[in-house]
Amino acid sequence: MRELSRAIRKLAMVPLAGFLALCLLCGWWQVVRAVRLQADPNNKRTLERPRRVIPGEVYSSDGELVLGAQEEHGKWVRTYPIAEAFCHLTGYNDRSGLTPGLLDALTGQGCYADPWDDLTYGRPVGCDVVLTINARAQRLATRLLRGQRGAVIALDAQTGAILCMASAPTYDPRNVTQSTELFEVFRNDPASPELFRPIQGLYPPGSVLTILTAAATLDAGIVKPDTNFTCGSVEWIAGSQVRCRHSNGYGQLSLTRALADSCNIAFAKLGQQLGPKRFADYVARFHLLDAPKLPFGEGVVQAGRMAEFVGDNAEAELVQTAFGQGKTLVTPYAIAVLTLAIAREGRQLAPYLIEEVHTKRGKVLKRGGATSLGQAVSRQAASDVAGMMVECVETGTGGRLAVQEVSVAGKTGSAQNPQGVPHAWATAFAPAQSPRVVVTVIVENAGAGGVVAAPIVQQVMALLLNK
Amino acid sequence: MAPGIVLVVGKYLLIILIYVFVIIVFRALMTDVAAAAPQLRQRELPQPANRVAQPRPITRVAHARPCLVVVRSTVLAAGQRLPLGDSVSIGRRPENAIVLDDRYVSSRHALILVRDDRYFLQDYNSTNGTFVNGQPISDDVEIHGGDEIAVGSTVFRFIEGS
Amino acid sequence: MSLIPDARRVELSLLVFSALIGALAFVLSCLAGGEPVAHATRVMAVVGALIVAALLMDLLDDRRDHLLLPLVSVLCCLGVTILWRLGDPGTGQHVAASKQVIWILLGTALMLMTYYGLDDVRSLGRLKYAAGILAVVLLGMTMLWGIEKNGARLWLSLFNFVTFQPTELAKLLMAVFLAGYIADRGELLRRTSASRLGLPTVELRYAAPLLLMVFFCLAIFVLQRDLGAAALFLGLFIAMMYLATGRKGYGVVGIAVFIVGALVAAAVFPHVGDRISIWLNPWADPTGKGYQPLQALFALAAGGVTGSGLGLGMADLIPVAHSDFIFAAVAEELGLLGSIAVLLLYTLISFRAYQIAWSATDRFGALLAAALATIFALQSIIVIGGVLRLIPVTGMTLPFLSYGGTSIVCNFIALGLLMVVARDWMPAGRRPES
Repeated sequence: MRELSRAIRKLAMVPLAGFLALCLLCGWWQVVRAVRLQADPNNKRTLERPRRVIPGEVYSSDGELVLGAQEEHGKWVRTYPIAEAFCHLTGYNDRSGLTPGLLDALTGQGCYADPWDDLTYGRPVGCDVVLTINARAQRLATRLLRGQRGAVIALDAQTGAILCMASAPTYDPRNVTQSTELFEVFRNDPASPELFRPIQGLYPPGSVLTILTAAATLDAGIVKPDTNFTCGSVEWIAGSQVRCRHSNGYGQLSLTRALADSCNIAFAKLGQQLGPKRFADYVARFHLLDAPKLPFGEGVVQAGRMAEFVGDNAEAELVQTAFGQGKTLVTPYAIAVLTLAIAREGRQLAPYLIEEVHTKRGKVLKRGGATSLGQAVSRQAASDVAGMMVECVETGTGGRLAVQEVSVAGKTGSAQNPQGVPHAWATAFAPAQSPRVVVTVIVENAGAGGVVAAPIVQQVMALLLNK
Repeated sequence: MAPGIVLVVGKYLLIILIYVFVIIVFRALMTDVAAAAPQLRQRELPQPANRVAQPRPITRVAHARPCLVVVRSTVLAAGQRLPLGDSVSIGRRPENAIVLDDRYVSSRHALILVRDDRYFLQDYNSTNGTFVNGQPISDDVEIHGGDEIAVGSTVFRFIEGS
Repeated sequence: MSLIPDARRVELSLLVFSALIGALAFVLSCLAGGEPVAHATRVMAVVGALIVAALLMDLLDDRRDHLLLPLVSVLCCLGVTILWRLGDPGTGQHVAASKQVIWILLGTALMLMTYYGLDDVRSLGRLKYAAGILAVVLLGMTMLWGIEKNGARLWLSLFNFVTFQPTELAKLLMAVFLAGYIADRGELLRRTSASRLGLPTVELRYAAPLLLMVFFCLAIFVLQRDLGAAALFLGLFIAMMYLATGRKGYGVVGIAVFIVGALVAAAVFPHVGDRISIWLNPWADPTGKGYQPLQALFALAAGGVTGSGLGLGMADLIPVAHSDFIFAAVAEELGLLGSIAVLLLYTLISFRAYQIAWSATDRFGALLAAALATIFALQSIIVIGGVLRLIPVTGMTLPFLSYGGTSIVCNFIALGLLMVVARDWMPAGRRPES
C-alpha cells in the first residue's frame, strides 16, 4: 500500500510536467511567435478584421467622404458615397483599390493602434485617411472620360500631391459584388473597367516621349533648341523606316519646331546620336519605368516596359523609342511624372496620394509628402524643353491645351498601336513660368492627341487653376 | 454596445478572479498535502531503539511548568505553549482542553493523564491515530520530555517541568 | 483557534466564487455581443446544480473531497460561456450552449447517483471483467455499426434516438478493469516481472488478460484511425503497469510501441499519415488539410498576452471551436493569462485526483483514482497539445470545457467515482465522529 502510494506520487509528476510544457508552448505561440503568425498570409483574421473593428473612413482633400462604413447586424460594411468617380481608389471589397494598402490604418493596427480606443469603444478603432485627390477635379475628369477608355492624372507641381487620378470606364462598387453573375460580367467585360489605367495601363507613349528625348539630348549637349534638322516625309534611319506625320515633310526645322510640330524624324535622329546606353540612362534618371510607390495592394501598380536595345535591331529599336513608338510601354502616371520633372526645372519627385492619417479624435498620426528623386536633367535643359512645350501650345499641335490668361506648356501625342486608331495623349503644366499643376491624359484609340486628349487636359487644368 | 471601459475592466477582473480562485484552491490543496505528509513521513520513519527514553536537556532549562509546545501545525501557531494541568483532552470539539480545528482530528482524539508527576498519553480510538515520535500508539504510553506527539496535522513537543 | 474553516464552508464559498467568475464571464460576452444580460441564467443553472449537489452530498456524509466540485464548476461555466459566445456554427443560435447546460445537469445527477449508489468502491472492483468486456464490446459495435461524423466513425446510435461516443464510456470501463485486475493480481505481476536487457518483462500467464484487453482496444482504435484514443489507452496502460510493478521501463517500451505503431499506421492509413505530415508542416497545405491547425495557431497569436476579451475576438473563425479547438477560443479571448489559468485549473484537478489516489486506504480505490486521474490529465494534454502543435491533432473533447453530451456525462461520473474513493480516505469518512 505504501509503495503504491509512493508510485502514484511519482506518476503524478508526469502530467504536471506535461501541463508545464503546455504553459510554455502557450507563451511560445501567443507571445514569441505572435507577430509572425499575425502577418501570415493564410491568416483569415486579416480579411475579417475590417468587419469587426470600427473601421476608418477615407476622405478627399476637399473633405468629401469617399469610402464610408456602417454597421449592419453587428458587422461593419463599406459604403461608397461617390461611387463611380472614386471606384478605382476605393475598390469594391477589402482586396481591391487602396484598402489593402491602407489596411493597417483603416483597422487601427500596428502603428495606428490606440490603446485608448479599447477603453472608449472596447475594441480597436480604425483611423481616417485623407487623400490628396480633389473630388471636384476627379468628378470632372470622370465625366470628361465618360463613354471612352482612358485615364486622367493631375499633380500639384509644387508638392507632388496627386490631385486627380481617374480611369474610364468606371463601375459602381455597390453593384458589382451584388451577385456572382454581376461580378462575372464585371470581371469579363472587354473594356476592363477594373483596370486602373493611370497606374495599370501600359501604352506606347507616342510623341509625348519626345519631351524626354529632347531633354536628354539637350542635357547631354548634343543639340541646342535652335539646332536645325532636315525632314523628308519618309526616311530610313539605322535600318528603320521613319515616317513623319506631315505628308510632305517639314523640310528644314529647328528642335523647338520639331517638338511643337511633333516631327518624328528629328527625334529619331536625336535618339540615334544619343546612343542606347545614354538613352537608357536618361530613362532611369526620369524614373520613367519605376512602379509608383503608392499604397495599393500587391500587383496593382505597374512598372513600365522598355524595349531592349540588343542584337541587330538595337539601333532600330532605339530610333523607334526615341519618338515614342516601338516596344516601349509606359503608364500615364510615368508621363505625368516626366512632365512634373520638366515643370520643376529637372528636379524629380515621387508623387504621393495620402495627405494624412488621423484618429477619429483628430490626432494626426501620419502626414504624406513627396520624396525627392534627384535632378533628372540640368535646369537649363529642363527650361529649354519647357519653352519648347509653350511653343507647342501657342503655335503647334497643342493649341487646344491653352487656358485663358495662363501660359501653358504642353505636348500632345498620337501613339500608333496594334488595336487600330491611335491612342490620344496630352500632357501639360501651367502656368509655364511658375508651374502649379501638371495634367496628363490618355484616351485609348481615340485619334489625335491634340484633338481628343488636349481639351480634357485643358478643362481639368482650368478647374484646378480656378479659371 | 457597452462602453469599452466596462469590457476592458471586466476582462482584467475576470482574469484576476480566476487567478485568485486558483491560488485559494492551490493553498487548500497544499494544506491537505501538508496535513497528510507528517503521518506518512512518520509512518515510514525507521524506529530508533529506546529513543523515547532520552529526554533532551535543553528543554528542561527553559520552562518551569510542564507544557506542550507546538512544533508545526496548520491550526495553531508554531511555538505556542500549552500548559498541562491534571488531565488534558485533545480533539476537534470545543469541549476539549486543546481544540484542534483540523479535518484530520477526531472530535475526541486523545487524552494526556498525570499520575504522580508521570505523564501518560491515551488515544481515544481516533480515526487517524495518535503518534509518539512517529509511532502510532495503541495502549496508554508514558511520555517523557522531548517526545514529539502528532495529532492530525499538528505536532507537539512535550516539555517536562523542572 | 479556528484557522481552517470547515471543509464544507470552503467548498460552498468556492462554489459561490465560481458562480461569480462564471457570471462575470457570461455577462461580459453578453455585453460584447449586445445581447441581454439575462442569458447568464445558463451559468447560474450550472453552478446552482453543483451547489445543490454539494448540499445533497453533505446530507449523507460528514466529510468528502471539497475542491473538485468548485474547480469543475469554473471549467463548466467557462465552457458554457465560450459555447454561447461562439454560437452554433451556421445558424448563430445558442442551442449548443443550452444543450451543454442540460448535459451538465444530467452529469451532476449521475455523479450524485454514483456517489450515493456506491457504498463501497471495492464492490465496483468485483465487476472488473464485466467492465472490460463491455468496453471491448462497445468499441467493437462502434466499429461495425458506428455513425460517421466529421470523417471519423466514433458515434453509436441508440434506437435511432440518441447518439453517443462509446470511447468516452469505454475509458471509464477500462479504468475499472485495469484497477480491478491490478488490485487483484498486481502482486503476482510485480513478483514475476523482471528486467531483461534493460527492458521489463512480465509473466505472460498473469498479464495475458490485461494485454489481450488492451491490445484489442488499441487494434480497434487503429482500425478506426482514432490516434488520440489509442494514445490515451496506451498511456493509461503504461501508467497502470508502472503502478503494478514499479518499473519505469514500461514508459520507454510504451513510447517505443506508440511511435512504431504510429509510423506503421501512417504508412498503412493515408488518413493517419496526413495528420502527421500536417502536424510537421501545416503550411504545406494552408487552405486544405493544414487549415484547422493553422487557424487555431492564428487564434492563439491573435490573443496575445491579455486576449481580445470575451466576445470581442474572432474566435468564431476557429474551425471545430466547439470541441477539439475550444482551447484556442479560450486562448484568443482571454489571452496567455487566461490560457495559463485554464491550464492551471486542469493541473489542479489532475493533482487533486492523484492526491485522492495516493491517500486512498485500499488498493482498488487508489488504483481506480490513479487511472481516472491519468485519463483526465492525459486527455487534456493530448487535446490541448494538439491545438498547440505539441502533437498531431486528434479528435477528442477537452473534459468539462468542450461541447459533447457523452463527454460531459462520463466526466461527471468519473468525478463521482473520485468522490467515492476520497470518501474512504478522508478522515472519519462515513463513521460518525462522536
